[in-house]
Amino acid sequence: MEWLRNKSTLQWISFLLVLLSFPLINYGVRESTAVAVIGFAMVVIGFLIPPVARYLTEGE
Amino acid sequence: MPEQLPVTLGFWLLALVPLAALLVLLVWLRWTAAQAGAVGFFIGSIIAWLAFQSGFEVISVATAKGIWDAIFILYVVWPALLLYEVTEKAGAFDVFRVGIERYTKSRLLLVLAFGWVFASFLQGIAGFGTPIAIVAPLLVGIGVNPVMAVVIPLIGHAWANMFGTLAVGWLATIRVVDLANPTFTAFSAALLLWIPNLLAGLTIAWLYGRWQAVVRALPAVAVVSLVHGGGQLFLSTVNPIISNFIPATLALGVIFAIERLPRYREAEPIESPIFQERGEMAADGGEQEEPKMSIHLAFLPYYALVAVSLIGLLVPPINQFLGRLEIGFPFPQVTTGFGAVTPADPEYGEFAVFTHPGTFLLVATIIGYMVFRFRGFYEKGAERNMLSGMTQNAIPASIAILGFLTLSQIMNHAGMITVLALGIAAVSPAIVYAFLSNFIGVLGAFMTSSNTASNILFAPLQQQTALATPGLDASRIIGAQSAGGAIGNAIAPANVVLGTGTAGIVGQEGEVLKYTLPWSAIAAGLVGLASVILFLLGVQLF
Repeated sequence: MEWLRNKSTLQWISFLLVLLSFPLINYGVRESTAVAVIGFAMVVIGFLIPPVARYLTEGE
Repeated sequence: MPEQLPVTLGFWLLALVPLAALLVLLVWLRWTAAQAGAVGFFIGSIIAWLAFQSGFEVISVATAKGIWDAIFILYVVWPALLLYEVTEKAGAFDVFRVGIERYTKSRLLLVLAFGWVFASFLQGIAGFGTPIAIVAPLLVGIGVNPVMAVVIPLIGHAWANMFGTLAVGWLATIRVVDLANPTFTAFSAALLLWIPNLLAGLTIAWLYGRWQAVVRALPAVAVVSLVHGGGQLFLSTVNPIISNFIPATLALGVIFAIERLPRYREAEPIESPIFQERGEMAADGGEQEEPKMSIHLAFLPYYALVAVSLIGLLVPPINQFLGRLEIGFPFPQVTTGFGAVTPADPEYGEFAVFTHPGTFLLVATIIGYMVFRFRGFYEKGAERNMLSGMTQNAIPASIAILGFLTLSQIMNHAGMITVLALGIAAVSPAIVYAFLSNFIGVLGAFMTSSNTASNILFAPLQQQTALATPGLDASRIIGAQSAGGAIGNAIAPANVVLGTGTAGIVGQEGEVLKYTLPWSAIAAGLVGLASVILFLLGVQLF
């Protein structure tokens, strides 16, 4: 679980989650709410990472 | 149906919370922009959901549009960072430092030339954050400390936002509002934009060496500002499309001519706090040895950038050909519980990929890389270092930009931005509104990091308020909105992050805002005063 403390890895995950949610939300809001929910959940997790990482990697 | 929005003090304060939280996190608590932007997204979403009756559909549509807006900006950020790495790893920044010091002894003039004149020129042709992304590392390269290297182009380029990038802001404005007197509106905007232009030159000189430097720089600042501000004012009544590009280009020649004056031939006897000491520069990786390449070769990627941008934008057949591939995405109409409607858009955020500044940056980067590689300026493994250097700065900058722009869209779709603007309009008598109207423009640019987007958001509202308020003139009010939209670019988080990313000081966004926030407040205050004078004079020139 050491990767959880790696700031760079966490930033990559955060960035990719938010970025890759775009096609899901864009498709979901037009065609399927379930797909939009998955996309939005990716954004929520992606944006949770930076503030959480602030505490996980504090002092580094 | 914005009239159904609750324009009360309570809701106005709630709408203000995400913006206040961003400022507190960035400036006071010194969080990084990525952390503050992410938290801003949550605060904005929760207030939009619980207070502004925005359901899942509204928030998710806004979020997706914010991500798409961010992709548009990230297509400048990533190539700009790669250009920096390609140039830096070839040793070109050491050449800038040594070569430019040989070319001119006046570091004050050099800082003005890069941070004000060159940044304005880049805004004239490319825009979308390109001046910050390019000029910040150049200033670091000549020895300016990284925070100031970001602050200076942020201040220096702001005035050029409205009519820069071949007047994209103006074109968007006349698309969203039906102007009774477009010539006088363009003239009013250009007149007010002269204020942040002159103030930028004086402020950069002040930052360089306080009042002693201001006095020394005064002739140069006066002449350049006359070309910039006066030229834009004159051309705004002739052809707004080229009203920034022409004077910004002329000023490049003017600053070269000024350098020949005896006053600027010698190094100024002024201690400058913005320059790093030699020891610090060496510690930062700076070398003082004899450069391996000529200064013109070092500048090659930047020459290529200017040439590619000019050809791509100003040669009509090429521009039309490159503009064929446009990308945009469809979004459905969404409505909040308060009846704030965002209409469906068949191709939201449509942009031409090959005339986007990111493509010009990418082409310039490839040209620079190939020439430097061919001439043997890279060490073994340089490519890997370039990519790792780029991602190290690009990832946190990208998260921040995604956070700010999704927050902006959520506030916009929920009607929070409209409540903020309507609240100001509701309690302001005509003369006070004349003063405050440019602050609404600043707010729009702060939220969206774009003069164009600020005008798209607020120009219709400003026009409606002006038409409904006796004594207010819509042309002057939209002029003030446009000037505010330009000034707001100096504090726009996406621009700040772009600068800290390319200057290698990711996480120090608060330090940058400590300088650009007061500057923007002063500039907006002066524009407000000028708007009041125009209001009192009531002169209609056209």
